[in-house]
Amino acid sequence: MTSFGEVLQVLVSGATIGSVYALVALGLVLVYRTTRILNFAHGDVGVLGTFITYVLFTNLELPFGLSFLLALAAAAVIGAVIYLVTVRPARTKSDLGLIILTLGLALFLGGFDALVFGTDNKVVPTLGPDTIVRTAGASFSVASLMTAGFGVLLMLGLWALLTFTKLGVAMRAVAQREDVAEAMGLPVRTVLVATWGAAAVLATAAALLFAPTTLLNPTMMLDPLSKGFVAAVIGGMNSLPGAVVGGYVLGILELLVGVYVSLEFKASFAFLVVIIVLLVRPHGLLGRPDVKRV
Amino acid sequence: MTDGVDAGDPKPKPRRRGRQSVLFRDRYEQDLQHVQGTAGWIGMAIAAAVVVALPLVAQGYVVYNVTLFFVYALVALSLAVLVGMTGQVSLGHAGFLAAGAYAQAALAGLGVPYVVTLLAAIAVAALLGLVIGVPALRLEGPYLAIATLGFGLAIQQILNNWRFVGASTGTITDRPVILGIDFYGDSAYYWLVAALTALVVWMVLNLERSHVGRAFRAVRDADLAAQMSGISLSKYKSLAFVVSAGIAGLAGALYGPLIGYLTPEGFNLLLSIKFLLMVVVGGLGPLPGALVGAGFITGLELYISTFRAWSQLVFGAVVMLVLILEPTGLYGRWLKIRNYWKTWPM
Repeated sequence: MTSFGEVLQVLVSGATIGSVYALVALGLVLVYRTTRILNFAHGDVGVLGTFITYVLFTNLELPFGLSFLLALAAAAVIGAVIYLVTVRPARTKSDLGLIILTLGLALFLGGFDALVFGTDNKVVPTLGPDTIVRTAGASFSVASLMTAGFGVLLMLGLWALLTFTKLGVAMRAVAQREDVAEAMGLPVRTVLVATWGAAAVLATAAALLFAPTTLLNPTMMLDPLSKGFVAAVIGGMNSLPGAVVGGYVLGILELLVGVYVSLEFKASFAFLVVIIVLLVRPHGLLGRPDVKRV
Repeated sequence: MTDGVDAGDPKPKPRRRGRQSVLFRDRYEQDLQHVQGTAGWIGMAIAAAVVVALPLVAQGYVVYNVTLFFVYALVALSLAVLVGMTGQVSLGHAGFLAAGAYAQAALAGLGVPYVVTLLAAIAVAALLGLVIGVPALRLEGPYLAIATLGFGLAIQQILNNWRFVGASTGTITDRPVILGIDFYGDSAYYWLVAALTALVVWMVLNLERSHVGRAFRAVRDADLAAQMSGISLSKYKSLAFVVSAGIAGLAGALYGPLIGYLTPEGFNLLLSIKFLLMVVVGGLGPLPGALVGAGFITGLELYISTFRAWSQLVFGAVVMLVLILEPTGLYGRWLKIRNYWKTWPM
């Protein structure tokens, strides 16, 4: 017996978690398109940003909104520094070597968080009040609606950045052909720094939106990061719209499985989806295959 | 420069055997030798003597950890076949290790002889390798990495919910008795694992120099060109997965009795990542790199566990430093140093 309200409930709740997956996937795709790196440190960058928010809010007693914005700015700097200090000077140029580099970075950041902030669970406030709204037989908390809305707002912001600003156009040019972009006189290094910074902002936003549901600790982003990878792969690793589609599709499907099939199956379901999607479309739903020459 | 020297010699003298240059190979037979020259054989003999004699002089704690190193070295070797030789990434090798370990434990629990459980563990893991290897044919780069990552997590989830193998509480494994010989002691089990590891190292080295090994490397370096030369991509790519999974399965069957207690949580993503770290930090490509990497990561973990809260931070920093400074890994750095001294002052 499924009513309209129940379906609506699942759709909205799925879209809430889906917007977190979509934000994580967007950051991963942004970095992958330009530098060909699967960034396994993405989640830990987000956790670090969330810890910064927590310290600003709890220890320095700044307003939550201000701490949030300051943490996003700090994340942009952290992303830029990570690129300049680890990725840029790395003599390893193979894809696998760079993946391993980000794995090392993930361990380093995780260890740093545990050392500085501790491994105990911390409570992070939600974006909005916890009041419940009832419409058409379904009930949502205002906080979850605001989470979903903020996610959409950030995605629109990224879209505007990439479409209307000079920096955004330069980012797309570098993603398309780095060598040609450099030959045309674009400051590739600055553009890449900006790309890593933007990805770190997305990671922090995703972690901040996700933190109230689990509580903040250094390993909090492990699950959303792997789901973000799945979302990015479902959508196609080189397609930004694909990452958004993948995130929402995964969030809603996962919730449907959790509600109607079995809760134990929910965790591994994402990887079943990825294998099925890749069997049908090896480069994701919206991704384009790389053209290869011998 | 060499013209002036060679001008007086009508014929170059044939090189004496045993004085061959380690750096440069001038005959095909040298490519086929695993051990080069007298110095190589002496080194091998010393290494073999150290490995055999270790339990007689070292403490049980050391013996246990060296056994663990051998098991990890087997997994690193299996990844070297898949990633180093064929160029296919796997972020789910803990899944194959778990398959081998659980297959061995479950069969041993039913009273099946140890040798049979060992073979069954290899077979189960190799079969899983085929199951993953065939869909992996269509995938490459990040897509393959995420698909294998999913495989590793899926295996963990299945074991977590499978009552027959103890679900999330896990299952107990015992050291084996083969032909009346009891391998319960740490030293006895050490010799068993060491012998099997040596056997696999020798087999993988042989694989590398065979036509299959050459096909693997051709697929890695230029898959389209390899296909044009008549190498079946689907055959060799899935074969690499089967071989690699089989070796990892054997490692699992040795791992279970070593640690004595298996839980699904023990085969998490971090373990898969650790195996990949071993191969890349050691040096991707040459097989000794996998062994060096396994030794380095196992040793580093043991050493920094004394740092307590700092251990993860230091571990990550060391891994990053190796990759930032030396793209060819530790073994690549060693080769560069050795070649520098061999050719000095040139």
